[in-house]
Amino acid sequence: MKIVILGYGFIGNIHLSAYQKMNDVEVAGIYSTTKTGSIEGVPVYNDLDECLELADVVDICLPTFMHREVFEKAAARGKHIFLEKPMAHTEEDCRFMLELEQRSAGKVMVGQVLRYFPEYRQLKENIDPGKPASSLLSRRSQLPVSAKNWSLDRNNSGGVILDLLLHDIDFACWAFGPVTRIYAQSDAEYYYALLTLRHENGSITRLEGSWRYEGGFVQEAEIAQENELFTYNSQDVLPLQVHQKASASKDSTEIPAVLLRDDPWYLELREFIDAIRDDRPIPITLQDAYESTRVALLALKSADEKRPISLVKELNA
Amino acid sequence: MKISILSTAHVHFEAFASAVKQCAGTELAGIYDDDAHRGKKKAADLQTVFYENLHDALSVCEAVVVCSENAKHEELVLAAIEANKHVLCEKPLAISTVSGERMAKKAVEQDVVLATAFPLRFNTPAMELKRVIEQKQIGEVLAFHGKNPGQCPKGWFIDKKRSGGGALMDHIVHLADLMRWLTGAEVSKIYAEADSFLVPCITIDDVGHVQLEFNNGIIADIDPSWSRPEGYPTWGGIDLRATGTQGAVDLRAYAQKVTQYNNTKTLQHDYGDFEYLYMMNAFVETIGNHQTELATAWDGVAATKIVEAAYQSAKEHEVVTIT
Repeated sequence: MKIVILGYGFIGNIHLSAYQKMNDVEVAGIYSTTKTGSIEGVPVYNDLDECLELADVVDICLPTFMHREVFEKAAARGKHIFLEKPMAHTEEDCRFMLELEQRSAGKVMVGQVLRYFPEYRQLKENIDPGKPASSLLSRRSQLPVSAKNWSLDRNNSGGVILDLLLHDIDFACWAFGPVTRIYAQSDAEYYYALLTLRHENGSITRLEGSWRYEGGFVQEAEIAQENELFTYNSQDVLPLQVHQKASASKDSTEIPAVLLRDDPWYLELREFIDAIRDDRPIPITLQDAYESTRVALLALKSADEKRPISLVKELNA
Repeated sequence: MKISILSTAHVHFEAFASAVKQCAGTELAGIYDDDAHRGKKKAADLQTVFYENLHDALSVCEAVVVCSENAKHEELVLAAIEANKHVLCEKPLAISTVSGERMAKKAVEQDVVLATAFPLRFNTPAMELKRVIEQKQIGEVLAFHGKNPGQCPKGWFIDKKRSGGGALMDHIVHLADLMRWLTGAEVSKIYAEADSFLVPCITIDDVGHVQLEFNNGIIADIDPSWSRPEGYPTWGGIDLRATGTQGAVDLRAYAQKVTQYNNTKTLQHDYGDFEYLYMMNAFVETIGNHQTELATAWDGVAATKIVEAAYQSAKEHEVVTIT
């Protein structure tokens, strides 16, 4: 199966590595506005239309604010689309893309990759779906580096809430169901945020997202249910730590240290490819991603307007 | 200085008694308890005198520690102040702002010390955190992320008449006071979600998620939930992360533990400094007119205001502003 990767930043690079492990997938081209020549033997195209002609399957790894435009082009051509999270940075773009998807013959999957992290799967599988949960989810790293630093601009990326904390918001929606009430606070730059979510089933989820953490990348979950407590902290369970005399420099964008044969990015893309090949349902649909992206966008609105937001009222408005 | 302990109802009684006995400047004068059976037993354990009558216990001391059910603080504190005794009162000082204010004003009138027991101010790692913040090692503080989860203490704690409230009443005040102490700022806005679904067979709040905004713009959150099941190896803990413009600092105030496993259970042994002892020292120094870090009655009132607003917010689903 031929595929093209649209956008080659931090996540495009991870996806290329995943595809290269698949015998049945050929990356036919990479679309990039900044790079030329070839990357690991894959030709780079600076013309989007030209690149789109190369394959029936596309993987959109461009900056969030460009998702809508490129998604529209790909959907219009009936391509199967893998769309990196967040699906879009505005409610309007999300709705527009959902409409496009309805009319497109291609399949669409969104890369809410946390659902492929086995530790989060363990949490999901072991909680009692019949009981409300009280949770603390935290995700922290140093300030990420991106081309022209687009991810630091709240208007282009949605800041730490949409770009980073969406992982945990999506997990909360996946594990505890629809959200009814949101309250969020953030710093002026949208590099740090605190969120409280109330779910339809009574669960309460509190989230902390930080791009101001110099203590190494951390993802953390603590879930309490009646007589049960689940805890997970990525820094407490590092299976291998290398300690060198001269400390190595940190990566520009930090990701969790994953010591697994099949990493979560490989797993999500493998399922996407298999769903196309066998014409099976997509594991994380655009609608699934919209549910949590919408919560993140409303959290931004709550932080902007300094008030709690009721989703019931929002729907009726 | 002779100190009587008024009531043994609170789970922190042993810590107070031990501090009074260990502190060089204090001596345990006796114990009063309105539950004579309980009081006699505790007095015997500590080899001290049990007083069935409150005024007898007050007549043998210069200062008292009030360690009763939350709802009985006011009655005991006012009686002690009337008798011209200095008071160190278990947290929360009061179950309502008006009650706390009555106590604080009475202490001013009688010119005695009324202090609130916020032992975190004497927790050695927390004191180091204060130094880190004051030296601007993380730049300007932007946010706090706080957790004070615990096991459900059961007994009178889950009876609203005697406790004034559940997990929110029990556990918000420690971190709220710590944040005020670290920054000198006051909480201006509160948003809270609360419920009761963690501990079986109780109806009082056992889940809380509180967000705060301070009057200098710092944002914060606190988890006061009774989310630690009975099999958890310790009572709970207090963690606080301060995030600033130049970095972040993680406090685990009770991380200093040695863990012991055997065939049936896991035990943890604290090896950190015994903060109640340092709090007791500060109480004696405060009575002697020295400047200390001891929380005042007004600090206790400020913390209670936050708790009251949290309950109101959880009920109304709106942000509550306090002044």
